[in-house]
Amino acid sequence: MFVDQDYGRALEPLLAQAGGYARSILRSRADAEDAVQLAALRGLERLSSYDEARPFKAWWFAILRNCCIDTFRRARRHPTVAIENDIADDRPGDLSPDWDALDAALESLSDSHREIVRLRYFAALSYAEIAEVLSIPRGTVMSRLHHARQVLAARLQEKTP
Amino acid sequence: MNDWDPAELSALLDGELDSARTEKVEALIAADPGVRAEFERLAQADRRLRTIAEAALFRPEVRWPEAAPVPRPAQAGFVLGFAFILLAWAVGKLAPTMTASIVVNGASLVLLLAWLAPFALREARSGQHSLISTTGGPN
Repeated sequence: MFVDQDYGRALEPLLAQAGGYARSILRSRADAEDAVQLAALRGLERLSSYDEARPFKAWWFAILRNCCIDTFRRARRHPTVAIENDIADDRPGDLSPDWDALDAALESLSDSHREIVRLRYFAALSYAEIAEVLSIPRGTVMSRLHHARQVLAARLQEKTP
Repeated sequence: MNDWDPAELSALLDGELDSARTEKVEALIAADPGVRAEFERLAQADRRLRTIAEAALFRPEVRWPEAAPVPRPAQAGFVLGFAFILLAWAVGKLAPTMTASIVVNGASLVLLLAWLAPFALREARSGQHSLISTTGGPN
């Protein structure tokens, strides 16, 4: 039986990846923090529905993904003044992600391909876990990720004649 | 060697192939310059994405809910003991009718509290939340 304390312990090692994944969707560190907080509490509320036979990481990242979507929609409904390269990113020792490079790399991909790239690289999920989060077969994960890499590889080749 | 899926090149990069498939695909990469070039292209894309993703990593603080305080048995015992001493003192000082009235009312109150206690405990344990800052995990 998964109790509250187990939940906190299981979540602890996922938080850095959760921050990166949420940030890749929301682009703002502050919004990403909000989404992770929301997902942590939502997961706690839904703990009784968690099936221990399934991977915890995939279960929780599915919740986080929905929280990011909610946060993104809320931010669009109530836009705030945009500050270039979110001021919250300017923290000592904090690397600023090259979002332009990411956008340039992924702009020609469909949403479903982009999502798989995010789950693989930012959330560091395995193919089986991505399949669980998106409710698609593992083979589809493999082929979509391959397609995404091919597109990115082609773009990189265009840039370096 | 036609019994392979080009997407296995990506799966190899991700360490998602079993040992038998890993051996086959690695042999193919070694034997075929075209496949090797494609694998290198994919590896380059992989490195680029990893660099961007690593820069985005950060660890958010999570504020866990604080569970409502649960009454401690030791405190309850202390209160009951004190009530008993007070009652014993009152019995010696008051008129018999007043004493009987206090005993009856006291017993009723104890019974009522005993009936309510399980509900209160359940409610307290379900955690009526006010947020506090902590990193360890939910209480």
